[in-house]
Amino acid sequence: MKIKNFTNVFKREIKRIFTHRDLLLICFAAPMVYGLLFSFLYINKRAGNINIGVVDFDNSAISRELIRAVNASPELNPSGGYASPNEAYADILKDKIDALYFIPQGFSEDIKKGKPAVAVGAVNAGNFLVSSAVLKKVSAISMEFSKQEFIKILMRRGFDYKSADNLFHPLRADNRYIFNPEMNYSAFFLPALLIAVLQQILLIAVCSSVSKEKIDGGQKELYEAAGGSWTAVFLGKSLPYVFVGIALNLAGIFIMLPHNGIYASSVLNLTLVSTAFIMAITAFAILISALFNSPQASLAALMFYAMPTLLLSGFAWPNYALPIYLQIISLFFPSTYAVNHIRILILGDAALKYSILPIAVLLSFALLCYFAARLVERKTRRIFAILPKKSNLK
Amino acid sequence: MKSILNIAVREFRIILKSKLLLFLLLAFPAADFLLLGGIFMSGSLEELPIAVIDEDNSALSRMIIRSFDSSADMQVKYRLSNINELKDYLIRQKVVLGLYIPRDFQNNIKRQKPQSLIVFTSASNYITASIADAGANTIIATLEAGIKYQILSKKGFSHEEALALVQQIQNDNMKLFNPALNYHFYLTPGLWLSILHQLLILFGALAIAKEFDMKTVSPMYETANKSVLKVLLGKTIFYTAVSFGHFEILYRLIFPLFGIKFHHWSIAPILFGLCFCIASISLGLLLSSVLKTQANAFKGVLLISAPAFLLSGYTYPISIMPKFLAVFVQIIPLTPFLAGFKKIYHQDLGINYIYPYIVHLLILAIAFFAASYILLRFRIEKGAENEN
Repeated sequence: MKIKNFTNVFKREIKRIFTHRDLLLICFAAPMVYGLLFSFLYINKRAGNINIGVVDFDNSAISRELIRAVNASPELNPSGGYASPNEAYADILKDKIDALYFIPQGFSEDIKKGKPAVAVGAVNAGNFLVSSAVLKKVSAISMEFSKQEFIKILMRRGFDYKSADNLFHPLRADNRYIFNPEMNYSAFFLPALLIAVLQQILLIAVCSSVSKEKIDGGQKELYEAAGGSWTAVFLGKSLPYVFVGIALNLAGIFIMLPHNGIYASSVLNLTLVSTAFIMAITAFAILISALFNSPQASLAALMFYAMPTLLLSGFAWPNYALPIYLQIISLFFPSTYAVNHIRILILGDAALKYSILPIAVLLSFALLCYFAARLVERKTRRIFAILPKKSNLK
Repeated sequence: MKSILNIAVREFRIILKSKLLLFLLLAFPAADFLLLGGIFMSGSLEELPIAVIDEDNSALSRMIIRSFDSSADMQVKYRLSNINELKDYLIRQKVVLGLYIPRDFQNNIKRQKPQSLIVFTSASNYITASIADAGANTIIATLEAGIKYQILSKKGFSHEEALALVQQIQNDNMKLFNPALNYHFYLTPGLWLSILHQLLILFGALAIAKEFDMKTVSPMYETANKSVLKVLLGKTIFYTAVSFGHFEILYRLIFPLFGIKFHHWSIAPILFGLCFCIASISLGLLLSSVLKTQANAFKGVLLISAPAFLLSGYTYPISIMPKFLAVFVQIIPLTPFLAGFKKIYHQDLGINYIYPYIVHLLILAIAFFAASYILLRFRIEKGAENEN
């Protein structure tokens, strides 16, 4: 391959991106819309102000104090006035509240007598984000609320305040959350979405570009610009999209994520892994375009590809928890090697040594796609379709 | 009525001749249903890999490690010597949690000096972090209760008194509609239905776009007695019938195949599914009236339907989205459909609880259908003028 042939194809592709409305929209307008959509979607970071119906059958100073503790929690938004748990349950069914908290009669009496008092919480587990937040908060409130009574009882038995206080929590869990200190849903989801959007945009853009060559009959021009070199076509056509991908990735890291309070620290490391991922995806898109005869067929294949690959990447459900057949299938997707690692690089600080393996795998994948696409092209002539035999070129 | 039927029959013949459309009708949903069905098959995450740094190396610290190892949620996979090593394991994603037991831990507990167990949780993955965090806190709370009980007993409290003081307020927590917090039952049906949503919009989008691509608008128009309304009705009826096949396959075959129970034979899911099909296909028809070619229709559907599941409120509640987004998501048919589907599937409720969602879907269907009628009529008339 001569450098001139590569630069011809490269310049031609850059020109196509900026002169074809479709490609311009896919490469720049669509990511902007996605970016805005997702960065506003998770702006509240985690579940808060969850409507919880409170039913107080005890109606004592202690129960009212407990309700005040529920009220003070930013995660919960208590609404009283329920005459019975059934009434509150009916509102759960109508989606007016997500949970109910029931304090039965005799609750304060039990606490005063030093008997275990039972409070009933019921949460709509149809949404895990809401239900786990409610359960965690209600447990924490119950745990801390009884401290005063505990100390009073112990002091009546001759303990001094300090030793009674020490005895309330002889052992504690000191929870430290690495990579996502506030356990925000946005920090968990947005980095993965950034990669998913990048993947989607690059796949559609490259397939659209190759499709356009087929529909508009631009293959002859492409062929001449490349001087008949497949490598020049492959590199010249894919590199502009690699640059588009890098630009989009940087826009995500420096605009979309900071909008949600996420600031990447390992930027160089992150850029290297992301670039390897972008190269793998771009090469894969060229392979898909070569595999399918019609533009519609290649786009249909992408439709099948996007959602399962993201979910198989282990970004939400760990790879080791997948059934064996899916673990094997997931090995063939670049997102498996990129999504989790890139998220860690966005949320934390990791040395370059951690990225060597993912980069090597992603670049190998790109290389494999290059050879596979070349093989397909030789057999089918789908990108250089104007000249069925190589002998005709000479 | 006959012309509407003719359009539907014509659509059927076109599909039979097109490998791509057959692939989209059969292979695409089947493959995605099977792939997505397996992802959350385990239902819950068990034996999450964790690491331990035991600087105390006492009977109590070994007992704590055994408690973690014997819990269903976690498995002690590595015993490490320092925090840096743990950080390395967390970055490499070999473990989701690291437990640090400090030096003199047992002695301090014996001296009644409050102690902390440091729990490092990798929170980059919210799901694994939540499970590991809840598991670790439960184990530590149980251990704390045991320690508290022993100290109180030694201080002269009776068994009953010590027991009551260990947990003064007992929470009887109920997880309604999914007591085991099973991810498979929760997420998989929603994902399957979002695939169906994508497919329905695509059907609608290709229904018109392919006629323009193949330059068969005139014969189609003739078949419908030159009525755009009949064209749209014929195509909508045909694809709604096809989608019912998909619903049947999904509910009767795929749900049981992946062990998910769903009482789909009552009137509510059938009527609800019908409204969903019409609304989604109408959205597709509207897209194809705007986007002129099949390739554009594909791109449009890919870009529009991809974020629909995230925006639907199925996993991230609409109530915590910004106001403008909470309004915007209401124009996506998947949003009211999944909200109503949850009522039928999770809560086993009937038509009384889903009629607001039915009305919502019907409003969307009418709006999309009317808009696509106006646009398609304009395009056909403009095309006819150009020909003249």
